[in-house]
Amino acid sequence: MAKPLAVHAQAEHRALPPVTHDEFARQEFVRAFKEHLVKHVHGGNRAVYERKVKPAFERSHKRAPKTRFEVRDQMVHEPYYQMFSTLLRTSQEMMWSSCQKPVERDLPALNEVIAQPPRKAGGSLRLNPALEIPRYHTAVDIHCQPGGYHVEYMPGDASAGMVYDRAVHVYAMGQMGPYNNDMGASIAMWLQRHHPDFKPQRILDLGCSVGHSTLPYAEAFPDAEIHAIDVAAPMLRYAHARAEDLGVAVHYSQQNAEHTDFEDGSFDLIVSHILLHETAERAIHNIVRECHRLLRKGGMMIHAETPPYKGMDPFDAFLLDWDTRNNNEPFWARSHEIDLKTLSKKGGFDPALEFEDLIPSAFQVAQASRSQKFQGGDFGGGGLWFIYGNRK
Amino acid sequence: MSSAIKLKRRARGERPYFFADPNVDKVIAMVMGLAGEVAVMRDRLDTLERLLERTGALQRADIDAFRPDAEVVADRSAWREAFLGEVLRIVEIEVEALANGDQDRYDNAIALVEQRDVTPPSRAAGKNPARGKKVAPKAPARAVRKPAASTKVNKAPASGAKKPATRSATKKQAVVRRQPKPVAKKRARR
Ligand SMILES: C[S@@+](CC[C@H](N)C(=O)[O-])C[C@H]1O[C@@H](n2cnc3c(N)ncnc32)[C@H](O)[C@@H]1O
Repeated sequence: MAKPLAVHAQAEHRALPPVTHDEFARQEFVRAFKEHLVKHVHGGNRAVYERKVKPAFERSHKRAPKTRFEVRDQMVHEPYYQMFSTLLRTSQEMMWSSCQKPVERDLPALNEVIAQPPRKAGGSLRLNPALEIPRYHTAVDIHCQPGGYHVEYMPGDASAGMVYDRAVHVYAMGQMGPYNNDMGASIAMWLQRHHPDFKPQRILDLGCSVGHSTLPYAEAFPDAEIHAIDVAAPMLRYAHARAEDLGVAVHYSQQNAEHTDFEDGSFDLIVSHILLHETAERAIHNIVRECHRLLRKGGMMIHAETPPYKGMDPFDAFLLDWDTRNNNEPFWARSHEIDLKTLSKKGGFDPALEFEDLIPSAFQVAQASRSQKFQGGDFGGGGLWFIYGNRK
Repeated sequence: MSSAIKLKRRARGERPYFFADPNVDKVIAMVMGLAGEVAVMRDRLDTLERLLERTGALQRADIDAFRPDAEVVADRSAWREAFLGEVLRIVEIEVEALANGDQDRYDNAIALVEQRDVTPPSRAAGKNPARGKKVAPKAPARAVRKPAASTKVNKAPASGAKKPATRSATKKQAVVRRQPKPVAKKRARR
């Protein structure tokens, strides 16, 4: 029997909706359910593929499957894969439901807390009710959060942010740290190690959601002015209240990363964390072009994503692709196939200054140096993040 | 306690089903939903025990050491029996129907009430009940083609032997049947 992952409780802050005994128990169950799937069920797919599906394919085709599509065409008929998939989908639905319940209990009161940040960290919030939510976010509710990032149920609503903050903790099974901030913290750590002389004065985080990844940059670069944008107002309201309560000054504004109202060359560092795969073909190009416009000469953009499929074993790509069709992530597959050098070049960057890297998870590094307890789930790239970026 | 605001429960976007029969996916979702609530209840019980232990009202070891006396055993057995009776009710009604002689196909009841004139059993038997044009088109199709679904009361071995002949035979019965069952009413539209 494998030891359970160390339970990493989520850090409390004032904006986080309180949970009752049973609500917490329900979320804990979903976390354990997901953990169980990752540790004990997920891997069985490979066994089924290697021992059964692939040999059968080789017998009939005289070669191994070449693409993730060929793998998929076979695997969808496998009862094991069907069971795995239905369980994973169900866990996702249970996750959202378990995180919605505490929010629904008394939403007006929770929104009141959000409306009055108790502490003044010096950040700000600028909303634009006229901003159009991109079609790629209204067509389906991304990763199955009912109502998506943007739906509002009452004036001043931050419910989507409340649900999201807790859900990310459950989804990542606590492995993104008590503040769900591992992506931002990892990039900040990477910057400090690999570019010790790079001292950004103005930083912009694109598609920041509730600011999980935004805040670590303030810690890494205490002198920097930090801006963060998102299209969804409920996320930003929550992000603002959260940052203020955690004592971090961030200037949040509701803007589309494809076209912002910031001035040319006004940032040294522009980051995004799992934003690109939730946009669309045209949008991704617009965003890179906008990054180019907003960066000063010598500045840097960095986008964190899961690794591209290029060169990946077709079975691995097939499994990584699960979310495209089964978790309302329509752009996932295509975004993983875009050639990043070309993307940079089209956006106006010098492709010679383009970089791609797998970087260690800050949380994992911290845990490893603290204790031997950390088991490192295979979730989120097994303790590594993929980054793509470009210097200007 | 709860605010009037209800959050959306369904994520926009077509829900994938993975098994050839989507009901399999649904049953699994139900099982996991139940498992989740069992876990919640278990946590609650655990909390209760710990709190009681903290206040000195209970030692948890006492729970493990607890041996029910005959009366408690009897109480619990009775409860369990009733509980299983509820849960497995669906299995029992089949046998009950047999015991009551209530083996008519439901279609016969439809045929009975949809007849325009009250005709003697011998005339009604074997006739298409839909000859009156007011009859909904669905009913006759069902009466003619569909064999009894597995939960239907009359799908019992007893009547199985006479299958080809049953239609007229049971129709006759339907007409003379004495006791309409509430069960049948509940099942009226599926
Ligand atoms: C997966 S979340 C990002 C998570 C967040 N960066 C973090 O690390 O915690 C994607 C976010 O991007 C936002 N978004 C999507 N398209 C956008 C766009 N074109 N401009 C700005 N924000 C966008 C969504 O509203 C959503 O909040």
